Amino acid sequence: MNNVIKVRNITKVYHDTVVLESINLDVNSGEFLTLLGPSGCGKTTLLRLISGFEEPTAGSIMINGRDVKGLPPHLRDVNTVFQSYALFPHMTVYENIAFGLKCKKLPKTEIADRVQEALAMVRLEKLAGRRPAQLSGGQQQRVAIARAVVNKPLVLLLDEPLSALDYSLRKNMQIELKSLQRKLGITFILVTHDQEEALSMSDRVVIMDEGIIQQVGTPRQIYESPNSLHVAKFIGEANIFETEVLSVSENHLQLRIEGKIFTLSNKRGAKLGQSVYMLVRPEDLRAWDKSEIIDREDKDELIQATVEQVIYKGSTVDLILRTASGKRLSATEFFDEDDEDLDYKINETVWVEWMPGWEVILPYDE
Amino acid sequence: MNKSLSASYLAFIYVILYLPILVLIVFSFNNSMFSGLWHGATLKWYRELFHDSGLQVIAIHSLIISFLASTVATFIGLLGAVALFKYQFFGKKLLNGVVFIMIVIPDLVLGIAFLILFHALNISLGFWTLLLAHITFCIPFVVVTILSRITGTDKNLFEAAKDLGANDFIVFSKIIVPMLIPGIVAAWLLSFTLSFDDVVISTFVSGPDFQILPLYIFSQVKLGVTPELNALCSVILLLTVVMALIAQMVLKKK
Amino acid sequence: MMSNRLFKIIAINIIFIWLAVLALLPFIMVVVASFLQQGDENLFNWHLTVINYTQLINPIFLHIFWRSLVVSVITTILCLALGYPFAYILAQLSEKLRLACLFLIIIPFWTSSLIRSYAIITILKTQGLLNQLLLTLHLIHQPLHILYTQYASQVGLVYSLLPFMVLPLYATLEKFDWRLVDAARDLGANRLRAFWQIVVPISAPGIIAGVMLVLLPAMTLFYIPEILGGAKSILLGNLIKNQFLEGQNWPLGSSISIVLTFFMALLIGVYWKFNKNKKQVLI
Repeated sequence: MNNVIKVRNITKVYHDTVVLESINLDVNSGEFLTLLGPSGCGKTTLLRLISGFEEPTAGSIMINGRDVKGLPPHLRDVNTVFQSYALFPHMTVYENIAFGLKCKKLPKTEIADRVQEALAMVRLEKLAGRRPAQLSGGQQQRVAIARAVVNKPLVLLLDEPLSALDYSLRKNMQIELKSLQRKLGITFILVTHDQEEALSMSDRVVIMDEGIIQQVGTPRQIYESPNSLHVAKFIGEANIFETEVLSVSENHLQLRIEGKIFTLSNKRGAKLGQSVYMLVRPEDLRAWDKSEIIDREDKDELIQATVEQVIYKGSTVDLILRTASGKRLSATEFFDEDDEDLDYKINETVWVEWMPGWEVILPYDE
Repeated sequence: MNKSLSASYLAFIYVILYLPILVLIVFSFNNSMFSGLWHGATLKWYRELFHDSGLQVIAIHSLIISFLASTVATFIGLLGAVALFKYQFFGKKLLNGVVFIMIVIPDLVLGIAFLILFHALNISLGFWTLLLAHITFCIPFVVVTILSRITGTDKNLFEAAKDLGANDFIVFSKIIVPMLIPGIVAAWLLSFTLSFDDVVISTFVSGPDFQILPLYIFSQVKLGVTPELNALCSVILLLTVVMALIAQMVLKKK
Repeated sequence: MMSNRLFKIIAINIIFIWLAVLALLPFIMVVVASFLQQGDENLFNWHLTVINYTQLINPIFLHIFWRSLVVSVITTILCLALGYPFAYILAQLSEKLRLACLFLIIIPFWTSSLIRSYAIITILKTQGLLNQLLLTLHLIHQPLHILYTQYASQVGLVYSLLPFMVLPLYATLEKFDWRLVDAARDLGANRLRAFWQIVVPISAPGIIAGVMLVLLPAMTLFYIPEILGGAKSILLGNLIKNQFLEGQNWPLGSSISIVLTFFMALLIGVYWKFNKNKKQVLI
């Protein structure tokens, strides 16, 4: 697989603030890549460096094998879908989409054909004569996409394209964007701060924070094996226990958690006496009530907790638990064949466990 | 665009705008009656200015007219702006239209319209005609200034006050006016300077018994440049700059 | 709630009655006056006539109309050419700098244009600053006689009215969404194209508002030609003023004013058309 974009040692400094620091990133041709991070993490700056609206302070960017240093935006083979769209208010939908092609001075008939094709692609043929202000948010979004892809860029950059839409529309547009990307086969780089959006749409996710890349991986890798506490916290909820490694064998280690000793596999080579975090996702925690646990021999090895809150969510029940040491845990229980009536009562005592191996053990962040 | 090019363009325009004014001020300190050349600094012209009792009377006339005109116009304009914002009424569109037209119509047309009106009503030109004309041409500016401030406020505030039992008069005096103080002050200052600087309309509605500064300056200017006139203009410039400064500060505070 | 109704009645009626008597009524009187005959003893004779309008089709008047139009169009173009780049740069400055620069343009807006016109006499006169500068630079050998010509009057108009062009331009450009330029550049437009096809059309309401604030005053600020120009530089404003204060032909002065007002209405029509479009676009 060839890399359509290669970012090498990019640093960007505004005035005296370092916005991006030695960023290295390869973008595969045809993939859906998401830059995910909180606001101010540098993700939009990285996008603007690729599109050519900013020049890096140091480092280089290759697009399709060509160093684009000093190349203005209109000479790069990338197009952008802007946050809140930046549609030209004084032009019709048709004129907006045709703008880029007119700039390239293409023959009129070709422009007409390609605009029609783009309009059909986003199902807006009937609204070609409208002004942006006469369109709904979702329609404006589609025009913005059509206006960019009609130029047949190698890479489409999307800067928080869905942030202005309401929840259900956003869900629909996520699916539409993803299928559009498959159909067109061009590389999409999406910037977002919405982790759910990143996980559901991307082939790969780049987690950024404070100007550096924290982790790059598939959504599953990032969710299931975060490489830092920061990433784990940013992607979804996690129960975090701070503890020390009590003993280490070849493949295993022992931790004391809430007064109980757990023997777990040592995937990351933790050392004896090292301070570590152990993370368990709420949906990996099972909470058993007394009747379910009474017959188990290992029940003394489980952590005991009291139910503080029960939040019914339709397909799941979320529990807020409190252990004897006062630690707050959250657990998500699914309705399934094993456990059809999730009937928890407040102040009830439950026993908590998780599937060994589903936990993540991380060294203390320095 | 190139940054230094932009900066020098801004500077160029500012020089064009300010150089004549600065030259005027500098020459108000020139120790020579006629020359365009510098003959050393003096405060002589300012001293003469403050001892000219005839001029003092004219200046007081101007201050009285501008003070009364801007105060009355601010009062009427404030009530008008609140009415335009809060109420639906017969003739609202007409009122809006008249306000808009009065802002864009050349002062000259307003001036002759006043002249014909006063002539038809058989009012002799003087203090009262000046005052009425000045109040009238200031009102639209007050309405626009205050209306732009009200529309920025939250309508729920007025509803909340009503919900708590306030009647319209209390809402006006305890909620709207205090909230709009910056706009009201700015509107008053703008009216004052508009009135104080007006030449065109005053030309048509003033009589020989009640002289005001702009018309006095106009008659003097036609005779040529003198250092006293420079001094007088400098004082007026200073006054308006201070007013503009206060207006900007008041508006920005919020 | 008696007091609510009372307040409403007071608030609406004070301004309504005031403007009806002191603005609307006089406007109507000007219209009526323009159809009356000039009287011998009184100012008006109560005979309806259109002579004040037919009289306008007279080479002397037409010449003044034409010259006024030319002068004010030149003034407007110069103000636009000087003011647009200025407002454009101003709108893109950083917040802090912008407020300071904006204040520097608001001051001339507030100060008396009579005084500012007077101030340029010192610059333009034969031994004035401009001639001294040009002589020192050896660009000219004889001082130029600019003062008391129509050129001086032209300079004075541009100088006086420039702030009135800059402020509305700035007001629209300040609200301009600069990402639209980014979008145009991203789609392949160079800077010039992005400027002409995106920035200029979207700032059209500001341009038209500025033109309105400059074009009409340029014709009617009678004191500028009187102070700076010579006898030959009289414009429409001087003509109207003279009919009222010297020629004592009020009906004729009124008819000229009506023609002027009609011209203004035309400009407002254009402005509304553009603003309507803008509203559709923005809301």
